[in-house]
Amino acid sequence: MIIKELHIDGFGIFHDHRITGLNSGMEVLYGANEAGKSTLLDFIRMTLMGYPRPNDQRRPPLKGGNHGGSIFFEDKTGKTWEIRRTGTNHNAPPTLIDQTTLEEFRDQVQFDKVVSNANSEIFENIYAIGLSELFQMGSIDKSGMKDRIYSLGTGVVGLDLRALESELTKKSRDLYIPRGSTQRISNLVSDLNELEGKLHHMDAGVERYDQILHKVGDFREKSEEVSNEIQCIDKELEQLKARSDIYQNFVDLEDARKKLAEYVDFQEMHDEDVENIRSIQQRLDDRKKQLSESQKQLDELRDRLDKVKTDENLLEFLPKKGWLERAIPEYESRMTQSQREQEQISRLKEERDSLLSRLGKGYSSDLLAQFNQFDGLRNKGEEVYKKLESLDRSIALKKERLEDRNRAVREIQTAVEQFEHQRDSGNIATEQDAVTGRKKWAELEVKFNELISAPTSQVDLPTWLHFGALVVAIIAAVGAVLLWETYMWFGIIGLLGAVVISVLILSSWRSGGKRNDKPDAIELQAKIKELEAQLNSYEKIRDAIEEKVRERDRLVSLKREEEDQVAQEEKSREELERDWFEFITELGLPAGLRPSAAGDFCERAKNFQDLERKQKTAELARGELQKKMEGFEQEIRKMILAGDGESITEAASRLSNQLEEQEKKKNEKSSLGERLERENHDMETLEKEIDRLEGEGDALYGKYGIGSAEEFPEFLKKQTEYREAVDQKNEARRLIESRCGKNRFDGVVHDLRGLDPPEINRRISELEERKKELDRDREGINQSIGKLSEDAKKLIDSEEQAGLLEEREVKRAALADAYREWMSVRLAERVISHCKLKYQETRQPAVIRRTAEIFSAITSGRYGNIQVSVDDEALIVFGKGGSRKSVFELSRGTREQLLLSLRMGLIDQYEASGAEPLPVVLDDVLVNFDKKRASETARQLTSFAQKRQVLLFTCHKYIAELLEAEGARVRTVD
Amino acid sequence: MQIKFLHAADLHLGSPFKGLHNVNPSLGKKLRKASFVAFDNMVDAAIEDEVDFVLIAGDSFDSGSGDLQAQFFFLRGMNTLREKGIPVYLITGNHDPLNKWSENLKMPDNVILFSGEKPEVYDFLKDGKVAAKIIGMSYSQREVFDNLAAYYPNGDPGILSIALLHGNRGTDTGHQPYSPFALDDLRRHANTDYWALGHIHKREVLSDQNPCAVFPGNIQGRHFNEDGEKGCYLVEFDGKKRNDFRFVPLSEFIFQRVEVDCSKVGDIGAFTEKLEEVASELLEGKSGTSFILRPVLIGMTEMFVALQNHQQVDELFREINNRSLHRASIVHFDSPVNKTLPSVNLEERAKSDDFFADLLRDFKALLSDDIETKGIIDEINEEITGNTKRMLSGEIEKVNKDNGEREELIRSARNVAVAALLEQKNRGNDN
Repeated sequence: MIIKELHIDGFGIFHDHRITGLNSGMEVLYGANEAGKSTLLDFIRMTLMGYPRPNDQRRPPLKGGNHGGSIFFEDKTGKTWEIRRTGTNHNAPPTLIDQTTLEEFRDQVQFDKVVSNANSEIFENIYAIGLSELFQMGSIDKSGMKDRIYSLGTGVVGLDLRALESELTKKSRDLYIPRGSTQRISNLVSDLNELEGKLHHMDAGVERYDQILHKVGDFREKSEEVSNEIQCIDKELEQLKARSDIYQNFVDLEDARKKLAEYVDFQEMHDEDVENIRSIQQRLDDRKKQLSESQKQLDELRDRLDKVKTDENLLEFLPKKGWLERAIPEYESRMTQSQREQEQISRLKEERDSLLSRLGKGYSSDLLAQFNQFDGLRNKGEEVYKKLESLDRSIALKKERLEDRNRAVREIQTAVEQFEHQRDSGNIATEQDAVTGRKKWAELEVKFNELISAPTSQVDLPTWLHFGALVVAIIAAVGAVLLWETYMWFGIIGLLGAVVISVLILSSWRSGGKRNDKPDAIELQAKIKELEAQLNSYEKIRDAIEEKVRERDRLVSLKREEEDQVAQEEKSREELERDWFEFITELGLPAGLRPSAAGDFCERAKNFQDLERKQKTAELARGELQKKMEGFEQEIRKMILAGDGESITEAASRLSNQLEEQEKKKNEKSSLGERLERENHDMETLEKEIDRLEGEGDALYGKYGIGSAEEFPEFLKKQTEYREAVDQKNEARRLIESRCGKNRFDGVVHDLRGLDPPEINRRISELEERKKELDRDREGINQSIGKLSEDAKKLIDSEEQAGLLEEREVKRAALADAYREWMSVRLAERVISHCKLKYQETRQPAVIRRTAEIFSAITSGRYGNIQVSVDDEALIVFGKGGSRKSVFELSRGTREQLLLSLRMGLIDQYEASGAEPLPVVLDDVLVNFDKKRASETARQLTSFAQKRQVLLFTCHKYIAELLEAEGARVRTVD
Repeated sequence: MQIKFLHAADLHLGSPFKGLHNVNPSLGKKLRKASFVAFDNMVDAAIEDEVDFVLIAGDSFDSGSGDLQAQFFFLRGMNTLREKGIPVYLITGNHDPLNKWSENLKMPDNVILFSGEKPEVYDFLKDGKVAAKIIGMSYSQREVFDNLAAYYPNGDPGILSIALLHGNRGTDTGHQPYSPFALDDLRRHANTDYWALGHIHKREVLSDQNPCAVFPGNIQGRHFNEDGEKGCYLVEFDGKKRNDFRFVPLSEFIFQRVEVDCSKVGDIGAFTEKLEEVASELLEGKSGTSFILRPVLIGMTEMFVALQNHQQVDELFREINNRSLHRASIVHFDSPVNKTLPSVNLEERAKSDDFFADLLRDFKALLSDDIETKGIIDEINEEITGNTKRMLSGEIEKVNKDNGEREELIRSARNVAVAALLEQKNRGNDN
């Protein structure tokens, strides 16, 4: 871009001001102070790159005119453009006008294209600078050129080596720093320490397990010892408790022993002897009691015997007592049976009589009793009955038929009479009338025929023939007409034939009609027809009558035959009746007995005979009973007289009672006698036994020094006391033995003699106390065993150690991994650091190289080399003797020379990449240079301006002259 | 006579998993049980295959780390085998020497525990006849440096003879050099038919005949160096002739490395999908198996910068792992190895003439100058002090000793630097 003209409308002190004729190369715009050099610099900056946002920095027109103006410039293709911008709106895009086509563009895009995207920061801080910008390193930062200075040689665009290094450092420090505590490796180490600590406690699991089990073993031994002691105490306690329990037994034992000392010479009676004595005494008592009882009974028996009195007379009949007892009920039974037989006889008689009376008259008891032809009579009766019945049925049937015949004859007769009446009511009623009528008909017929026969010679043809002939005639005529031309003769013949036929027909027809037209004939014909009808009616009725009469005669003849048959059968019936009558007469039976009743009669006769037989049997039985009863009565009367009104049975009963009483008394007497005798005998026996028993008792008492029976109870009492003492002693011993053992009896008794219950209790409580103590010990031991066993089990079952081991391995792996990562990062850091040093020394970017060249020229070689420190991005200047200075160590002039050189270097580098060369505008940047360096700078700038446009504003004449001397154009700004 | 037995070793019951740092409590619980489950699987296998006996060649548990529970769990397993009438021939190793067994652990009568004084020989009777002779010796203490095999008596010329030995094969430096032996030492026992070895956790058949010498490996891997399927061997002999010989997998979790190519992965969503894809490929046809995977992230990827953020990556894996926890087969990603490269070709970029190229060249120079590298690392390690130093002594020693580790660290540092540079650049672009 080469600026050609500046057209200022209104900008700062300028109003409608133009600068023209500008071109590439070095151009100095010289003007006094306040001539507006800085204003021009700002005008170029703002018109090309836009107005700033703050209003006061936009340099509004002080002398009128519209704020803004235009710059005319030529692009690298040689095309001229006008860029116009107004200062009223900082946002407004510039107006770009193609000076060839005058085409206007009102957007930034087109402008950016034209200036190859040069941005305002680069322009304002590199291309268009005043002293203030020159002096500040920061202005380079703003331009975005820093990267160009520092990283163009890294091979990675945008690489910030410092950031890269610090990033890696951060990474490595995140992993590990010595004595750090929050880094990954430190954390892992601390975790591992903790885990190792935990595992240390768990390690040697087997040893711990065995130790625990060893301890358990010790405890078990101890527990056993304690248990043994407890067992001993238990034993002792048991003994003491046993002593305590048996102490009473011991007291009893001692008591019994004392008692027994009193019975030293006591002779104990054998239980057998005691029993014997007791038995003897018992028996003696019993016998004596029996003896006195017997005496009492004897006296009583004697009294009773004296009181029993008997009747000697009655005693005579005592043998008959049995018979009497049997005969009385027999007699009573017979009497009842006899009455029943009598009732049976009467009933049978009544039945017989009733039977006889039901048979009716003519029958006697004898006849029935003697009749014996049952089968003959029954068979005959049945036979005759059947025959009679058959005949009766046949006769009745026939009579019924005869009745039917009579009715039929009567009906036929009525019909004949009706026909006769019909006949008689007609004109022709007799055969004579009929003959006459026929004659008259014949006459009338003749007459009629005569009447019509005279003109009737023509043929009387039927009507259809007339029509047929007519049709033939027509056909013939038509045929004749049709055939006329061909076969004339045939036509003539046909026509003639037709005519003839027609004539014939017509004539015939006419003559037939004539016949019916005769009135006489018609009347005559009617008469004939009437007569004919009458004759026919007569003949019809006559024939009917004849037929009916024939039928009647046939029926009458049949009826007579049947009447004969009936008479025949009735005769047979009479004969049969007669025969039956003779038969029963012969048997002595009454005539009234019908054959049908013969069977019934036989039944009844048999019943009758049966009843009669039964009656006779009953009568016989009754006779027998009567006889026996009379015998009984005679016997009774021999023994007792019946009182008034007393029946024989009552008398017999009374006798029987008396005999009963006598018998009892008799028996009692003999019984009492027997008992008296027995009692006497018993008493004797008892007295003998008492003597014997007393003897036996005395012998036993004597054996044990007992004086008498009276002393025996006293003896027994003593013996019981003795025995109780013995029992007490034995029982006490038994109890002691059962509690303490047989073998230890003597020892225990001996012990007990030295003890008393309070002493025993004291010892027991002492031992129990000790036992409690031991129990507690044992429980403690067992608890320890339990806990240790639990610990041992836990050791076996615990997954904790496995978990911790695994965790340790995981952490170890993580630690190894982190270590490797850390090592990698640290190595990377080392290599990068090394590389960076090398880079700083040998691989400065082109910008720096170019800057160093210019700077060296300006300073006439005083400063030969420049380096950029990658660490702090500072420029380091190397002096001739190798001295090293930072920017801030340089004098102001030298620093400004360096910074100007840097900008020139940057612009060279920027444009080397093909960017549009922008005009370089410098506002009095050489003022602080000494003459020599200013002159050298002027040379460098002029050389620099060979490739581009450089506008330099100055208010210093010498500067203008210096530059002019180097070939720059100088123009004065007013 | 037919004899069938199970040969297991290095049960390491209760020994914790190592090197995992992304374990949530639910998985932690499963992991803690894993060695026990594997042991139960072994007991089940013995019962199911109706073996005549079981051989356990030492290191049934790790003394000093949850060993008590382990011992009692072991006892329970022994009791189960007793109920089934299966004898167990047991020797102890450096991790479970006799003096580390609880005095109070009463082994059932089916367990024959060999003495730590001298080798013993036990007869195994079948149908009333001696069917096998079993030779063995336990470790009475942790450190046994004698070649125990040399003391072992020769087997029986006519009867199947089996020797139980816990020791290190002479040449193997990856394990503690306890009871070191050479294969020839074993071969000298001409009548011994089968050497049931223990101690080396990697499954290895040293010799498959005359005699058979087998390290069955441990039954459950515990870290990424114990990867792949783990288990025991089921062996069948007919007299002195070996018939069948097969590996029986027992482990509950399988450790495995998987490469995850991130070159086409542009964001976290795609990365998650990629991991899920890897998991499902792995699980194909292996339902019921659980995996602990170490993803090795490779490829030039736009995720390069994001993947350098360890905490973010951890968080991401935690999220992915949590999803798998609810499935029948767990696939757990842990301890990723980030070998991804940025989408910028670093080799080419190092050829430029600028700071970035200088940096890349510096890292490259360090990779080829181990002395310089070691010096720098030593200097950095000097910064670590006190307890932290103690805790990290193992890691520091590893880095000091192993130049592979150092190279890995340089690469990691380069990635950190490159990621930081690129991040700045991206940030600059955004601005």
